[in-house]
Amino acid sequence: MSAIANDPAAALENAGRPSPGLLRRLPSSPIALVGLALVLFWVALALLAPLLPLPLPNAQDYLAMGHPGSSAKHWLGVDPLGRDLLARIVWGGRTVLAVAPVAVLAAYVVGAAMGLLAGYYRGWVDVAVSRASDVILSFPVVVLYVILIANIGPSPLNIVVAVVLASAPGISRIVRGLVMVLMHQEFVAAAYLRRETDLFVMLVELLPNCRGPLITDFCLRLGYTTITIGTLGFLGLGLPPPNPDWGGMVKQATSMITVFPHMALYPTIALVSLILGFNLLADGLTELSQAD
Amino acid sequence: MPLLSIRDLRVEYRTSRGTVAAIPEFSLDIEAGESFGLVGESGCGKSTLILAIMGYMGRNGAITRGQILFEGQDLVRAGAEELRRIRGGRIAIVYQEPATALNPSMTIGAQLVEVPLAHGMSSMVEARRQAAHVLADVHLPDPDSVMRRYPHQLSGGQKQRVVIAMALLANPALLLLDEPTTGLDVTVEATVLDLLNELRAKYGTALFYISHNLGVIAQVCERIGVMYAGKLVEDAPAAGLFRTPRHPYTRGLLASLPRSGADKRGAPLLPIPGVVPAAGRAPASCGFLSRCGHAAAGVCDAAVVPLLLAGPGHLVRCARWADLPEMAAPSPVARADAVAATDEIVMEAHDLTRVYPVGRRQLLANDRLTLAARRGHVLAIVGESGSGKSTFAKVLAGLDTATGGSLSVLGKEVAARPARRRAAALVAAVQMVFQNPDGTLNPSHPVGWPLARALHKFGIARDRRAAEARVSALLDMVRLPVSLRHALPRQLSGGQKQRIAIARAFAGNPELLIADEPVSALDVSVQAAVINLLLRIQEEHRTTLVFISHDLGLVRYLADEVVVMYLGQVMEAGPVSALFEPPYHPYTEALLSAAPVPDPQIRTTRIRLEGEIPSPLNVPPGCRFATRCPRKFGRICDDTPPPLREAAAGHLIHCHIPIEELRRVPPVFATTGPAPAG
Repeated sequence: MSAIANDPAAALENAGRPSPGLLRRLPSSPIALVGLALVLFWVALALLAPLLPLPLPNAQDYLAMGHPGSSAKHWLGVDPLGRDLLARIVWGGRTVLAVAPVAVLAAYVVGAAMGLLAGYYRGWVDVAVSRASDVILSFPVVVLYVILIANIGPSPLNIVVAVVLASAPGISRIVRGLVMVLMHQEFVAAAYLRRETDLFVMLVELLPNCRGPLITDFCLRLGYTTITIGTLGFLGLGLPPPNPDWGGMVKQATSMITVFPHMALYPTIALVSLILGFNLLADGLTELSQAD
Repeated sequence: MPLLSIRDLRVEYRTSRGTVAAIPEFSLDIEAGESFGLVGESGCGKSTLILAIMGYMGRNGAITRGQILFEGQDLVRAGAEELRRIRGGRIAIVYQEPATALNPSMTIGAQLVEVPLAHGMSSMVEARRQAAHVLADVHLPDPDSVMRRYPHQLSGGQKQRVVIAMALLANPALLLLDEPTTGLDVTVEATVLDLLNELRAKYGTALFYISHNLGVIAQVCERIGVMYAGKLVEDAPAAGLFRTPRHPYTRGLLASLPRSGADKRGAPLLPIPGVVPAAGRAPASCGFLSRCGHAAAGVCDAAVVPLLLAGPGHLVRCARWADLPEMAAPSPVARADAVAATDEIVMEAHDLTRVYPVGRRQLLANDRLTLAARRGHVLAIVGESGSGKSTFAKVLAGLDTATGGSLSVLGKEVAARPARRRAAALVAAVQMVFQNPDGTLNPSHPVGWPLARALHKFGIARDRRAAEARVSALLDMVRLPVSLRHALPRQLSGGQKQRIAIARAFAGNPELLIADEPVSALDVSVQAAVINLLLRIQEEHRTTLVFISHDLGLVRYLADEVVVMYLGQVMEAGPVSALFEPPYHPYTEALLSAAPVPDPQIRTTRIRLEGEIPSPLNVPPGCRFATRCPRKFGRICDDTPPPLREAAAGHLIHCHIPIEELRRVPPVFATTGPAPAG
């Protein structure tokens, strides 16, 4: 009787046990599902925008300006310039949902690279990266955005640049902390005993093991960035007119908010629901990862 | 009336996959003043039992049946107020990790006086007097100064003494001990076990000792219970259990340990096949059925097996116990040195030194280390934690570099050369198996990946198909199914992960393998299988194995040569047969004496070391061991580094005491009673 030969049977039994990853377990968290539904609702509207039977977002309906409230022709009414609010919200969603993920992804590339370098090499690299991060993090975020956009001008690209600059230090800190813990794991030593390069260890051995906390943080940051884009629009630093922009729409309506509150209300609801969606998704993912 | 009487206890957990019975049915009586030991591997329900007794079942656990009668009162049905009086008062508990049992922001004294005060037993002044008194009882020097200190100012062993003192303060009738020495060094463990025996004699407290280590249990307990799959499978007086184990699981546990005197060429370790079933998954009739080599259809799977009387006070839950042959006593086999001393030297360290700067001070991790390993030999390095074993392993593997001395591996000088600056062939030739099975594999990659990657990096498999074939061969070599290559590490058991780690180390056909405590995190029965595997592959490939361990029983079993390290220096080195017989270095003698032996028939001399290993930041100037040495010679030990004495060919001892005197020291191991039949 070979005692060792018996072990693999148990191994196969183990291997058959389901142990899905974080994203695949999503359906078991109601909070995450609600969040996902909200986000997907806006994604669907944004994708389908050109196909929907809506007026063009910049087309003015002078006849409707007399009665800007909701009507059969304009379900949500029109804005002060007679443009269909529903169309502008749907098309505005396209910008938010294009700019926010791109901006956060870009911030992730920069932040993860900073965190990997700082946590991996420690020493002066860490000091340089961490102190630079501290300088950026010492600015109130809104002030930082205003200074940046006011100087480099409002455009989708510049919003991305601003988000990267403001978010990368935070991401870098998370990655740095995770990397410093992972560096003590023996699989890293095992990689050195294969003569792997630093870059390989960072990208293939370390980075994939950071994804759990980063997925949650990514959703949260999408929410923050949506707020940022809205805030910038409201401050007149968002997309240059006449592009539909949720924050900009609220700003445009503020002067007549007491007379026609719907002009500010509907874009606000859109903004809030999307941010809520991202946050609930992040909460649900946190809950799932803690249930492990 | 027994002090503690557990009757028909059933404990269930609610999980996402339904209710599982972690303890299906458990009964046990403990008399006042008795010392009872409960052994079993992880997953057998020991911890659940403790939680049930203390009433700390979590939100998803519940006692669904049975009683836990303590001094006649049912703890299962007692109210919160009643439990508060009993816990910490009549029943006290000592957990495994002393560091987390103490509050880091309170002084020791403040935490100790809480016990009598909380139980309303005394005034503040009286409580302080009691606390100082009990600290003296657990042999902490200068109790008053200990009371003023914070937990971080004490060592691990001292902390565990404080926790034991705290448990004894209310003079409990029952002391629960949940692996109280598992995190401690053997020399410290031995003193804590002595302390428990002494305190039991003094206070008459009943002990309920839970451990996975049969050796430890053998030193403290009069009666031993063996737990498997949530049930008590054997319950017997200690001597009877070790002399005539009745249950196949108990026998399996004993057979998977290296018995004293046995070596790898005489009596191989016999692992228990399979793994402990998940809670609630064990067969109802006999939980051990699927792993038992004696199971008979129609007998073992027919009905629930009850506890049967197998002798005076000896209960066993096995339907076939009477049919089983007596367990053969391990026969002492003449140790054949199959390896020749003329074999080529593949690794040689000379005055190897590794100093870490810590602020303005210097941490001497390795201090002028001189040792060598020959081709195909197993060189074991033993010593307490902090002795520099792992630092040497890292320097040898190229994960760290030495700050002085020379280290030659396969004829190449590598002391100052990290793995990255070594030739690829040399890196492939020196590989390592790590201690922690959970950290050894990258959780993000399937287990076949590091094998394929190693083959690629070492240029062994040129194309995909060759790599696949070689990965399969490697998995086959460590007796794992090839299909496992796509599994993720978290789907594997600890033993399986260590096998993958062994396969990974052998991917590049190494000539020198470093194994740093490769089985210390595994259960006993799994340990045996992994050790057997490692030795088989090592022997087949004539690989030199540098085996780092604190387990002297294991070292005696598998090593050809042994190096004993203390505070970064070699104390003694020589062939394994010489190390375990006088003359010993006093440190070796103390280590051997402290090692728990899972056999009450073997008596060991009682040599205990004071205190713990000094900090390598502040090493004694003379002999490193002088501060703790029970055979200290005189002033010379404190002032002058000891000479190197050769006791026999290849057997070196660093000590001021002349060899002739060391030779007269009585041997540590002696057999009492009839010698085991040959």
